[in-house]
Formats: sequence, structure tokens, C-alpha cells
Amino acid sequence: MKLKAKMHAGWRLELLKYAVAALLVVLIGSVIILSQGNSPAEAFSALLVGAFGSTSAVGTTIRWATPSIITGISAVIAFKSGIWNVGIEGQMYFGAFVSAVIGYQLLMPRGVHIVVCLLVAGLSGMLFSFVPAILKLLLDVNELISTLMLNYAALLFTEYLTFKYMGFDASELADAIATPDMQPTARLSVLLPRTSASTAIFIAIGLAILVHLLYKYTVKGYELKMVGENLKFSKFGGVNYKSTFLMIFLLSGFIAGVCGGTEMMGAFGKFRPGFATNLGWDGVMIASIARNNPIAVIFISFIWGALKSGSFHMERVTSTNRLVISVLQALFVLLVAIDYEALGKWFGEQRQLRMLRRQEKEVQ
Amino acid sequence: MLGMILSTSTLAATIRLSAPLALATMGSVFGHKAKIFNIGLESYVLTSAFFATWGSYLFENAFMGLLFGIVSGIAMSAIFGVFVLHFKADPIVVGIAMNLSAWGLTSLLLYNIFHIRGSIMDPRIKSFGSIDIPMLGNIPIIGEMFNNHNILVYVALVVVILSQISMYKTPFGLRLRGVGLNEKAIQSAGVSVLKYKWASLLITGILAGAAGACLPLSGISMFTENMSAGKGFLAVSAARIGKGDPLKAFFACLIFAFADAVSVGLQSFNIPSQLVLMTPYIATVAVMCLTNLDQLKKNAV
Repeated sequence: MKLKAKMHAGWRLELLKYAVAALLVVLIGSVIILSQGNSPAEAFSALLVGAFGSTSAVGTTIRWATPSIITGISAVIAFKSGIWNVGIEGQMYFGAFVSAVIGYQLLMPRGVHIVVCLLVAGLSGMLFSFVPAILKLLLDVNELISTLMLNYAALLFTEYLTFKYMGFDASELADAIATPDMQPTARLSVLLPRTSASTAIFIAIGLAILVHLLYKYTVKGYELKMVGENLKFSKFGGVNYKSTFLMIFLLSGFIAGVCGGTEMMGAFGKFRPGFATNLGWDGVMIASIARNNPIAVIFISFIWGALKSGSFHMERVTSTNRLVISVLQALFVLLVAIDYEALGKWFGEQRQLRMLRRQEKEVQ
Repeated sequence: MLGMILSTSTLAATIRLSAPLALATMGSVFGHKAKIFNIGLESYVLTSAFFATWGSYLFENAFMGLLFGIVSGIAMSAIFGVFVLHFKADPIVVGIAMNLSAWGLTSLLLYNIFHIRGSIMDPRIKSFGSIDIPMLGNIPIIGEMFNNHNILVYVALVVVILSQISMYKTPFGLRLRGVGLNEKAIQSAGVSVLKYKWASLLITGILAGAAGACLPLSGISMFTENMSAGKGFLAVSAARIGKGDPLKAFFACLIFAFADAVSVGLQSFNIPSQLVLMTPYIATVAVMCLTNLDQLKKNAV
């Protein structure tokens, strides 16, 4: 009974925390927009119009929510078990490149082609995540740093592969280089006509629900959660840490690779080096805001997609730089990371300290 | 090709390129010893690179740029410290969020201040000039390697030595290491853990700020978006490789800088630039593996 009451209070505090953070972010955003000489009210209303105002706006929102969900889920799987796989972006690049090539090179019936492309995308991402995973297991190399480094390497290496595939003299301009258009049989259907929203959104939501069910109803999922919550206890309970660690890392890499695949098969249609522009980091941020809850990832990803879609419109209509939005997103992550209970405790301690000092003075 | 790799010009470039890394790494070393995992270092370096450019632009003076860089480094450290030490937020989450906001913020400021996207190059941005040390230039090889660098390179070398001394020969270093080893024990010895963590963050801020200032102000006189390109991450891994020991960490820096210098030299050969540019990152992972080889027996299945 007592525990339940406590949990309830905790839930309310949590909600308050998000509301306060959102309010602060809007305030800070307004100040930044004002300092650029634009009207915050106009900018924010343009943001809303750009996110939901028309069919094409909604389509763009869905389009950007899709990779956010998948990378978010990839991050959740790793973070829930206390593994810092921040190499999602690099794993995405590999998945995307391989699926773009397979999507162009092979001729297959439509359904099969899509499944093959998704699978090879996932496997390529998984293969790339195997490197930091095995280095951590065998040599105790910190996975956070190795995946960070491998992100830079992956971006450059897939660019090299693209040149290798297309021929080094294919293009004088590095910006123009890309793999050929994928076969129509490898492309996902368009969800809303004349928008870039594709049926990839269903893959994304499906993955999120699947992972939610995995954690909630299966023994394996329980084991995965245990590893993150209490390593010693899970070892005591008979969980093989090494194989579990490897499984989590590879699964996270697989899903990151799938995201690369859906990006190719949905919106892009061909691989262009450096296409991801922080999509992997979006997943890291979303998982952190969602407190590693797969269902919450879906909702936050839609907000993320709306912000991205809206920010393009905002930039066009009000000339407010859309980088404002990405700064605010990171700021929101920072603000919800605050431990309010610890903060309250700290203020309490300070107050007590001041009182003690005052009393000391009075005695003297 | 081997001749190029071991030529004095490559070695001189190694010394030159090690300066920003060494400064940031020395900053990271103090954090490492105080048990603060500060992945946000990348954001310090990037932000101070921008502000150093701005300072140099405003006053047409490289030293003002350095000052701007250091102040912005301290400001970034203050943000990190408040969130991690007082708000008890997860340091990794704070670090990642700071890196992401720094990527956005510097590009945003670049646009707002200079009305330009991508990069700023302006004759008003002044770099540090190279210094010709009279006697040093006459010594063969060593002279070529160590002479005619800008002042920050020499400052970096001095900072490494000072870090080593302050870490192992002063009461401050002793207490700082104590904070990292056992907070409760050092607290009962009358040392304020919070004060020492803040002190280490202040040092990190100053040095990472100077490291950031190195990037635009040591010759090229320009700022480009995402200019730090993982230098902060490299510094964090160098500090880890050295296990917080300044000299060992500096040695790791030299390896990274050497990889960087070789990659500059390799571009004249017929090797695709993407593979060449990968070398520093791959080198980092490789060095982290090599220094952990003793773990192999422990972890063997």
C-alpha cells in the first residue's frame, strides 16, 4: 500500500518534471528566437503549421518519426541493460549502404526483395556492432568510446565504399555521389500521396511493440532487464552475462541497421554518404527522455518528427534558423536528466547548513 | 612511403597536431582522477573553438581569442558541473546532450554572428605566429621537430609537465586522487569532495578551452562547423588509456597526433582520402585494445 502511494507520487513528480522542462525549453527558445530578431509567437505557430497544418505536413512528420522510433528502440535495448551503444549512427550507415546496393543489384519479386533488403540491412548493422561488442568482452575496451570512434570511421568508410562502387572518377563533387536508384521492387509503399511518409512507420511501430512485449512477457526479456538493473544479482540468478551482453549489443546493432534499411527503402531510395545527419543521436536522446520505455519512444518520436517537419516550415516562413529546434531538443534532454529528489535534498541541506551557521553565530 | 612516415616533417607535424589533443587530454586527466566521466569534453572543445574565432575576430588579436576560448571552456564546465554535481543527472546523458547542443549552437551562432553557413574565413581572424627559438633551430632533427611552432604548442608541453608535477608532487594532486579513489575516506580526512570535483572541472574547462582555441588559431585562421571532429572524444580516450597519469596520457596523444600527421602525409599518395581520414579513429580503437591486452587472459572463455 505504502509502496503504491510512493510510486504514485513519483509518477506525478515525473510528469511535473517534464512539464517544467518543456516550459523552460519554450522560454529559452523564445529568447533565442527574439535575439535573432524574429517573433517567437510567429515562429512557434509556423512550427505547428509545418508539423500538422496540411497533408504534406503530416506526411513529413510521419516520415521523420519513423527513423526516430527505430533508432530510439535500438538505443532502448542497449541502455536498458546498461550498455552504452552510441554507435547507432555508424551501424545505420552500414545497414543503409548494403540495403541500397542489394536493392539496386538484385532483381526479385516485390515482397521478397523488401524482406531481403531489411534483413541484410539489419545483419550489416549487427556485424558492425560486433566489433565494439567483442572488444568490450575480450579486452574490456569501453564501448561508449569505441562506438563513438567507429561512428566517424563508419561515415568515412561507407563514403569510400560508395566511391568504390560507383568508380572514383564518377563525380568530381563529393556531394553529388550516390548509389544508383533502388529497384521499385525494393521500395516501401508511399503512405500518404505526394509525401515521403512510407509504410516504414508500421515496421517502426511494430518493432517498438515487439520489444515492449519482449520485456513484459518473456523470460529472456526479464533477464535482459535484470542485467541492466543489477549486474551482480543477475549473475547470482544464473544469467550468463557474457552471452547476454553480446546478444543485447547485436540486437541493438541489428535494429540500427534496419533503420538504415528503412530509410533507404522508404524516403531516400539510394545511398548518399552522410545522409543520416544525427538520426542515430536522435535515437539516443529519445531513449533517454523515454526512460527506456519502448511505448513512450513511439510518442516522443512523433513529437520529434513534428518538430523536425515543423522546423523546415518555420525556417522557410519566418527565416528563423531551424538549428534553434535541435538546440532546444538537446536542452530538453539535459533538463529532464535532472534528479529532482537529489536537488530537493541538496536545497534542504543548504538550508539546514545556513540555519546551523546562524545559530552558531547567535550562541557566540 | 616509409620514408615519408618517418620524415622530420611528419614528426614536426606530430608535435604541432599534438598540442590541442594534449591540452584537452590534460584537462580530461584531472577529471579522470576525480572520477568524473566527462564525455562532454567534445562540446567544450567545439564551443571554445568557435568563441576563440570570434574573440580573435573582434579584437584582431589571437590572445583575445585564447581568452574567449578559455572563458567559454570554463562556462561549459560550469554547466556540466551544476548538472552533474548538484542536480545529480547522469554524467553520460549530460555529456551527450551538451555535445549535441554544442553542434547546433555553434552552427547557429556562426549564422547569427557572421551570417554565414559552413565556415568563416576572415582576414580579421588572427592566428598565433610561429616562434623561432634561437639556439634550437641549429640542432639537426630536434631543431626541425621542435622549432618554429606557435606558442600554444610550447604551452601544451609545459602544461603536460606541470600536470604531472601537480598530480603527484603536490597536496592538491594527492587529495584529488584521493577523491577519485575513495570519497568517504577522503571526506573523513577533512577534504571537501565537492570542492575538489569543482576544482578538477575548472582545470578541465580552462585546458579544453585552450585546446579549442588551438584549432582555429594555429595557422588556418578559420572556423568550420563541427571543427572539433572528435578531438574531445580522443582526449577522453587518451586519458583513459593513460589511466589518468598525465605522462602516459600524453604518450597516447602523441600516437594519435602521429596517426593524424601520417594521414596528412598519405594524402599525397594515391590512397582514397576517406581511408586516410579514418586513421586517427581506427588508431584510437587499436591503441585502446593494445593497452588492454592483459585483460585478454582474464576474460578468456
